[in-house]
Amino acid sequence: MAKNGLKSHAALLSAVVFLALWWMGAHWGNFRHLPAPEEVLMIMVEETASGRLPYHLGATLTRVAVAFMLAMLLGTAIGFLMGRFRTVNSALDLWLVVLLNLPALVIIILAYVWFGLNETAAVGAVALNKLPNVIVTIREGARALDPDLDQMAKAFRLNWRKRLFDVLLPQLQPYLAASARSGLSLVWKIVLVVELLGRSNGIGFQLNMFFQLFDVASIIAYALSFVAVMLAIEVIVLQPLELRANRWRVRTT
Amino acid sequence: MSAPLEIHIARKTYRGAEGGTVEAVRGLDLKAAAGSLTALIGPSGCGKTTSLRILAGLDTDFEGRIVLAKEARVGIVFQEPRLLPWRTVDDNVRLVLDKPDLFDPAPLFEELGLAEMRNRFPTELSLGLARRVAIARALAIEPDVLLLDEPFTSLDETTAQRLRHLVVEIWRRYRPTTLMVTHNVREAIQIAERIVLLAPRPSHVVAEVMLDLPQEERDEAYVEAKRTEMVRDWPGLVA
Repeated sequence: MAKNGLKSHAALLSAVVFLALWWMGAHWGNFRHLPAPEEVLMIMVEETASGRLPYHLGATLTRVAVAFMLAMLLGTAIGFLMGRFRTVNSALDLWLVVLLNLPALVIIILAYVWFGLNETAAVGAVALNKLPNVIVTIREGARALDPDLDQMAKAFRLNWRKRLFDVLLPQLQPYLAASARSGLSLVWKIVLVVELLGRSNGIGFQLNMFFQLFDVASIIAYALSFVAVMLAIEVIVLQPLELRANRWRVRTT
Repeated sequence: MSAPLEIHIARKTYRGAEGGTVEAVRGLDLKAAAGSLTALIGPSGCGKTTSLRILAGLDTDFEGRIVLAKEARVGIVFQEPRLLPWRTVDDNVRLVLDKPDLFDPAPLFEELGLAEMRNRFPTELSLGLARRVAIARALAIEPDVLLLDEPFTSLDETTAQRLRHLVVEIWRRYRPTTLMVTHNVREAIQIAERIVLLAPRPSHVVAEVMLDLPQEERDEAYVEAKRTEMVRDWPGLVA
């Protein structure tokens, strides 16, 4: 417990130092476009009160959530099949490499050109950008599955639900956690690009507008708000989930 | 509670690592009466484990047939415990049951000395304890057929001896048709009603040795005498 306390103190301290440096830089430094922290905070409060920030934040979050789910579900299924079956792997490997190396911008532009400036194209393009990373990670996981446990499941005639939830998914859990972690941050960055290029709401749309007005304080306010939300998701959802999933990794040595 | 079984493997071949095939089994025929306790012994790589795997339905790529009632429940204890590390002892045992809610594992755990371990995770257990959990899991389904694949290897002798007694006791109580694979002749003589000797590749049955004396009356002298006899009769097969 003492160790935990120390850790959170260290985290708090580093945040305070960062804010102090920012404040000093804004007030005493010679930067033309560095707004002071309190200025940014004021904008956050105002924008929240007016309902604009929650509205755009909600739009972005929804896109992030849908694209993330889509990429995780599809990627897990495809990655699993590629890891388990050699024929599937050889059939799809080329496309995986193509998709991995296709710049996000190209996918987004093509999606808008071919499918129109609509929500489906936007979310689909984001999911497609994240998809290959999930596939690659889960494929490794599927290759590392323990054949001994598979035989055990077969010998005891376990039904598909038990095979999935008790045998397979716990083995894939570290790989799922890894791709979810890296995925969430990647997805939101791409969502901003999608919004900037072809949507009329969301953080990305707002950032574009503030950029044209050269309103740096608002840009930071919007970006920070979203980062705060992601941080909250990390601390409130992801970390406890992972802790729970790893309960069994205790060893008495 | 117990079912008779027959195994007839005309041929079983494995594909070698560099192409080519290895014939593991040729003409292996074995019958086990309901409720019997048979030990399969033979040199390493003689197809003992292959036979168990075929019986358990894990390997269907062979020429031959298995005679076993379709509804017969098969409990298997692998060489390694093969427990799910992310489930507790209790959940590992419940996992294999169709109706886990109707099952009270307390008596079984009590009998196997696992009562205190129910809520532990397998990573917290010694190999001996993990083996017991594997045995408990195989027994929980009330098996008609119990397959044991070298269940006492890599244990210290005291623990192995205790587990051997336990297996005999459990076999007496529940009477599953039991097939145990081992390379340890003394162990086979201690436990089994009948020992089946297998030849090296391609494997088949060489001889059957019946042991009529009840297990608890088999002392060290008896085991040693039997072993000497078997070494004399089948040198090269029995160590």
